[in-house]
Amino acid sequence: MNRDEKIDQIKRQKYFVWGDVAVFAAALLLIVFFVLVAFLTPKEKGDTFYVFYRGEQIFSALLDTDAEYIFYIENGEGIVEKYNDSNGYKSYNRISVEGGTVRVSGADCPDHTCEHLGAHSWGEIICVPHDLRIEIRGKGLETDV
Amino acid sequence: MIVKFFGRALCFLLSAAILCFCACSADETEYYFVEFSISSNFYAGGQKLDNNEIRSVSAEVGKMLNSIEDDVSTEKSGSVARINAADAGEKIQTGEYTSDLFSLSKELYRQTNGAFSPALYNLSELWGFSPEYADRYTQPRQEPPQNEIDACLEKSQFDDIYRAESGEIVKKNAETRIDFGGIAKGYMSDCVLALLRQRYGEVQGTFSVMSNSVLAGEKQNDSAGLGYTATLENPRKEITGGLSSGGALYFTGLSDVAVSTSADDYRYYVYDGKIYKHILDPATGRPSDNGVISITVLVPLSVAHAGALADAYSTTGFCMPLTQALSFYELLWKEYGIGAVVITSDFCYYTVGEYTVLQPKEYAQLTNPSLTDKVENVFTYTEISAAKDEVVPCEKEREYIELLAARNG
Repeated sequence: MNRDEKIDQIKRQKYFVWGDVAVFAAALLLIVFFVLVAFLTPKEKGDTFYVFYRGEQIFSALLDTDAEYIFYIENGEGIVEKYNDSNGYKSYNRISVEGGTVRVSGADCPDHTCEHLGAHSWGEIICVPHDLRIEIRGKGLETDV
Repeated sequence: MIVKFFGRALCFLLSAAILCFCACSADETEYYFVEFSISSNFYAGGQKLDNNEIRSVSAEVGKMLNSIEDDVSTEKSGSVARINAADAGEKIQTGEYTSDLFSLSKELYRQTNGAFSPALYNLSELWGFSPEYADRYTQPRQEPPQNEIDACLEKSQFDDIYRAESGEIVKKNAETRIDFGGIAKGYMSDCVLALLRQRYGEVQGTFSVMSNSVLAGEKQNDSAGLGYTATLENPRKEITGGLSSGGALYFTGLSDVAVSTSADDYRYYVYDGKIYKHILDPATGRPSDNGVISITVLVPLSVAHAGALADAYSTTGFCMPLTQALSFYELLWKEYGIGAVVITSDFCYYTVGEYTVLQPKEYAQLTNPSLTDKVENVFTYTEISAAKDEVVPCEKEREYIELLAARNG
């Protein structure tokens, strides 16, 4: 078979031969497997959230009770207290604890990214403009080592 | 055509992924047992190390630990392996690390009247605790016959290994084999501290080589004012309820100290209602049986070889009657400021030295009061004067042993 005949034969071949189908099927199975692992494996759940202002921990509370907290900056100091609707807070982030999760439910920062991060039961929520970090972790008592 | 294009793209990606996986696996031909971790809040000269610096120094430490492991592990082909394979009278030139460990071990062997000995590899093998049994440590099994234990004891005498005047290590009995498992990781933590000090000068922060931790300097940014804090791991966490069941007791106010814990919940098996520990008594050739289930030792960094001593002393107390072990630690406290916490199978604990040791509820009250009702105090503080050599396991201990027995068949 010369070169032209060989090219002609390849052109006449079906798009899929059995070998191709097997490779596609294997690839598809792998994708499905990784998607399932990523989305269906149980996520770790914290039992406590910690609030850091400028890298320093200023507050912590358990996640076992639903509650509303407010973080605000006053005279360059970060303060966290129970949310009180009647107070006119400035430079604030409202922190909502609900069903063992934490979310920022309101803020007067310019970008509101922290609000869009949603509710978390583990990990971090960061508000860059207020230099605020909320860390959700677990296992109760913690030490240096 | 589009389908075919995407099909080929997928095949390409899969092949690349497989090739990448193979390349990564090929790199990991050498297995190292020792793990190292360093706090992300690590300071040198008052300046916090950034993430890049932490990564860089961790890599350097990792290389050093691997080279120590190469030299001192029974499973590698370094000095210790050569000593173990040597004939009687053969002079073995050792690496620096093995030489250090040998000298330290000789000193500890003398100081503890033989309660600390690294010459127990044969016994460790006999009882099924040497590395080749790693996949079946917990498998229930009968005790070896007494005549085999006696025969093994004869070839487990540290006095049968000595340093020649020319510096080499020599064995009197070809069959004697050593294993620095009771001191090597603490020694490694000393080497890490020396490396960090050489690189930065004085350092402040914590790091750990397996269960051997070093808390260097004073804690920086100590907003709680508690100094460094440390958890004494709960050897009975599996029957402990509440939050933080992993912590038996808590240390506060620590600085410049090496901390090491040995406990019976690592390398053990249960047979006929009894826990057989991996810590072997050099006097009897049998697993330690003095009623102790955990020992934590704290050695000030001002004491030379603090990490190695903490590691070795934390096993030594398993190989003496309880009252003798407590007296030994009291002596260490008076002479060197070394502290210890000893937990026994009647769920009592004894403290030696003026370190602050808190129950979980006390520590919770101090650090996170909302957790006070959610944590459980497991062990009861007991005065040293009330200690007795015969320790009767309490009800909860028997429950724990039954749990282990049921789990391991």
